[in-house]
Amino acid sequence: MLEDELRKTFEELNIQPPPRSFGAVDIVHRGVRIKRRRRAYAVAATGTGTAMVAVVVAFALNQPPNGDSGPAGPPGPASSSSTPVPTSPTTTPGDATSSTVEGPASSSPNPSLPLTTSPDPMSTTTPTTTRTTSPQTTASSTSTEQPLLTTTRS
Amino acid sequence: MSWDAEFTHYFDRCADSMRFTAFLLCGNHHEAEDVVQSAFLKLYLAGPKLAQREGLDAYLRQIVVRTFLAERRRVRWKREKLTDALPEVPVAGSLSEDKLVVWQALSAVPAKQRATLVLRYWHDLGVEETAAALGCSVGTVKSNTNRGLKALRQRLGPEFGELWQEVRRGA
Repeated sequence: MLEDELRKTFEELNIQPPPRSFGAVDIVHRGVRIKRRRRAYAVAATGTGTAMVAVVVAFALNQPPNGDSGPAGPPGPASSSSTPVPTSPTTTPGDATSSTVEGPASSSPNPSLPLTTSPDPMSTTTPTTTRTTSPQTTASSTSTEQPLLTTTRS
Repeated sequence: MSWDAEFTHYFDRCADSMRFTAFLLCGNHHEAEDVVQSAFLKLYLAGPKLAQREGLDAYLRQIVVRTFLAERRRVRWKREKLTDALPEVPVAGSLSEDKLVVWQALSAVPAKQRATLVLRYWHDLGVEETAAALGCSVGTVKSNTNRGLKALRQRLGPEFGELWQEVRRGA
């Protein structure tokens, strides 16, 4: 059989092997050198990658902001002078009631408040505050509180 | 025991047998030494990561065979080209004439079929172990064995079988 002939041929070839030209020390030295080179490559690649990421982040943070993408600021003077804000009548008695609970002194017009009627171009709420502190609204609020007090005592 | 000491001990124990396996695969001692050096270097680099050290023989044999196959698979322009016959023919003096004919016929067998024949008839590995060492299926090992033996028979010619039968009857 050819398989047996192959085995015998292999056995005869193994009788006188020539001497080795390398040893384990050579392999270990080459391996240590390759390991050192791989470690150096890894350190260099990591440092380069970190530096590139830092550069990209710094570039992204130092970029000047665009006018459209920034946060919304206060409206300009042209838009404020166009239409005054209408005052709802339901909020006025609420504010008056809260002022009467604190005491009658608060219902009187405070002289320290800026009640000047000079038109302020920056603030559009100036006519609203002058209406809530008017004595007419405080009088109506006190008249509505009296029936509530009489019902609790009886 | 550190890995370097363990590797040195293992190298002293297995280097000769692995070198002969590489010689059977490659056909000459020079290429066999290159293959074995590469295989031991790969083993040294992979050694600290190995989970178990029991199957080192099979692992090293697998590295040798795959290194040999990778070397043969490389493109032709990267390989060294021999422009003439090697100055030394160490095999011719130690082999009888019929064995020399078999050895020369084996050099004409393709690399993977040759690796299959060496693993099966020199290392006496089974079909499954050969398949694991070569990284192929069991059916591929069987077909490679069949094709390798067929190529050997074609190379040796029909008269070799008759001659071998006569030698066997005379013995």
